[in-house]
Amino acid sequence: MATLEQPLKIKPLPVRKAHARRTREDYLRFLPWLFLSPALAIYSIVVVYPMVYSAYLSLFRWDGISPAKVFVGLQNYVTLFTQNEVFWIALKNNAIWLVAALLLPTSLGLGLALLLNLKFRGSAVFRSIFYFPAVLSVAVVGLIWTWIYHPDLGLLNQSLSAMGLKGLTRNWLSDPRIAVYPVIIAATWNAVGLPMLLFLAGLQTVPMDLLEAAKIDGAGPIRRFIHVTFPLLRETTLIVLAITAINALKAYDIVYAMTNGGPANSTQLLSTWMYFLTYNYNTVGQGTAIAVILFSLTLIFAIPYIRLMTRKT
Amino acid sequence: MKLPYLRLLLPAATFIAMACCVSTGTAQNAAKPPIPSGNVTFSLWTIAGQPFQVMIDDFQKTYPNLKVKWTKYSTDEMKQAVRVASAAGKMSDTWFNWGGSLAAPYEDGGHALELTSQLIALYGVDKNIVPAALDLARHNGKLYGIPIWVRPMTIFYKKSIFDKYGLTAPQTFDELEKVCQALKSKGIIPVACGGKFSWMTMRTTDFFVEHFAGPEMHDKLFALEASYNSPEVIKAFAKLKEWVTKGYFNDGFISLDPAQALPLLQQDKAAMIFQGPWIEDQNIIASHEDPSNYVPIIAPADQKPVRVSGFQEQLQFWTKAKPDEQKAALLFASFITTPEIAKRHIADFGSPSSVVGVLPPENRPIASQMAKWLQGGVGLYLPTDQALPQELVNAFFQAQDSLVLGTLTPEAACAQIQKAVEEYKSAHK
Repeated sequence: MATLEQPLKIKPLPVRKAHARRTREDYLRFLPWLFLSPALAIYSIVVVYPMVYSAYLSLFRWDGISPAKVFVGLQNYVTLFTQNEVFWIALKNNAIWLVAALLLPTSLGLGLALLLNLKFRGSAVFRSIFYFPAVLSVAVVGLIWTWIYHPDLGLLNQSLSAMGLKGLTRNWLSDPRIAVYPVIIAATWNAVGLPMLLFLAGLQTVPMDLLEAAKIDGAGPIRRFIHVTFPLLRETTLIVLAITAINALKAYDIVYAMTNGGPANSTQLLSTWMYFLTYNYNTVGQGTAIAVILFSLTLIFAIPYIRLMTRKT
Repeated sequence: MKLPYLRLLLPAATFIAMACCVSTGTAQNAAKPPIPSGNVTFSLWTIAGQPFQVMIDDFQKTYPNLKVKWTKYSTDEMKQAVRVASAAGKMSDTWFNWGGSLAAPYEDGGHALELTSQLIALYGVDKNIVPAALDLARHNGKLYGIPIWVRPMTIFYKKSIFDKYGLTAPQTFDELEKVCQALKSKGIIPVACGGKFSWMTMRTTDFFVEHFAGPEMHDKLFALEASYNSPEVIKAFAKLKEWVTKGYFNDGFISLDPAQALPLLQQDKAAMIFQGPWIEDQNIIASHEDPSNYVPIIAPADQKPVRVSGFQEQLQFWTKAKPDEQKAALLFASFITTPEIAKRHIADFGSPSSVVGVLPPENRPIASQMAKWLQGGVGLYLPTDQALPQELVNAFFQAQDSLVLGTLTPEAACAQIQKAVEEYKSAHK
């Protein structure tokens, strides 16, 4: 009879069976990777490889055309930070752009969404009208606003003159001290549609009974918004902020269309300056170094956004 | 540093020879270029607005087994596409390009096919193309493309405005300034300019440098053999600033799109513009206006030899193209620069043509006038953005625009360019 002191005699499993189970487990573990592999392969080729190759190119002095690339280590980064004045202008403009993008399209989008969420006749038409700028190509938006800001023939200066405010007329895109702001306004006009749409979608998820309960408790529209609606829009707001921030760092075409980075490079962004250095001025190494810096900055906003989206999923 | 393609003096004899001495018969005597057998499709990349369709149709009709796969880009997309393709090792069989420093990297990098004397003779390049255009196209004494057009750039004035105010076309630099003063006093913008991309302002800057520094020094500046700190260049930059201060350009011109400058003349708000012959078809005739109301004059630099800004436009060929595609591409370029073909399509294909004996049609007064200048011995100097290495073009643009905006003095602007030149020279020893 076995006692507690006596060791338990455990009959080992047959080796063949354990091996079979491991193989099956291994198979199941790798199965998702198998299904993912076509997408991963495509992603690696069209996204990962170009990114890594760009980072690699940032370590060379190269005109982008000749077969010879000269390895210079981190010299391109040093040059950007110590000698390239336009890089700092672009970095500053990116910061201004980012702050403006987080404030203007987000708050305007929320305001419009709150208004358009009200039940009134023709609300669908107004939703379309306010979303309309977002469906225009940025090149068209740039063209429209370039004409609006035209110093002699533009709507803005002519309207100001007609209202007796000639003193306020400006060469809006020609003054390097202010030129970036008119471009931001044009970009805001184009960008406000997406936050508006996301907030509108978010507002549909706010339970009516909560709002009605708050109303019965005597809360006015502003208190209902502050204490009920806005807290329930938290996740939507975070998504809007993350998307807006990423889009702000990616901004390129509106500047290219409206000012081409000028006058005298005063409206350059990192993205436009990267393009100019790479494609116009034969300094691929410095251009790709900016790409790496821009990518790193974008990650600051992209990682929380991706984590949020993943957690939500 | 020596950049042989900057030797741009185009003596009268070459252009007179162009029009008079060379006949289509001479070209026909040359050995016939090889025609690929079997069906061959080759790729052609050009800028969207360029009227290649008429040539492609005729070529494909003449050679039914050869097909052109034509891809069109905007100007900047074109530069980007060719650059990316060269880095990827998969270029178009033939592509449109400018000359000077815009083409040089492809030529030095071994991407653009060198037209050896054998190829030049085989495809009739030496017989069909005016020597001046070939001079503009050569890089280090070698030819890497077949020129199609020659584009002088100069001052145009609107005749109806000049007539209205009793003004005559200026013949000297002083007269030009007096005309500007007179126009300004009448409330007319003397010179319309769209400086958004900096190159339209550059045309005026180049003209001032030509006036103050003279042709020899201007070429030396381009070859980086003279200093931008020299008093002549500083005077040129000071003159640019003076014109800005006096309001000789339209308000806010520095950020205006070049496409928005000509409308100022069309609306009688401005009287002159620094432009090229392409405005005749693309803007004036397209707007149903009379091209004879827009008169090009030789920008009065008061220098000898007489020169205006200008460049050639060419087709280049990929070194590594498959033999049949390369032959077909060369045959296409040779075909469109054959005098009888070029003459047949001159009205549609644009001018001034680089092809010998091919003059613009009568109903193209601007192109005709420019062709006459070239035949009469007016030379061309490359614009700065084609003459200077591209790494330096930004420094030039930045200094020029900063001067216009008042953030740099003429001395500081010139010093900034020269500093960039020194850095470039030291990096490319």
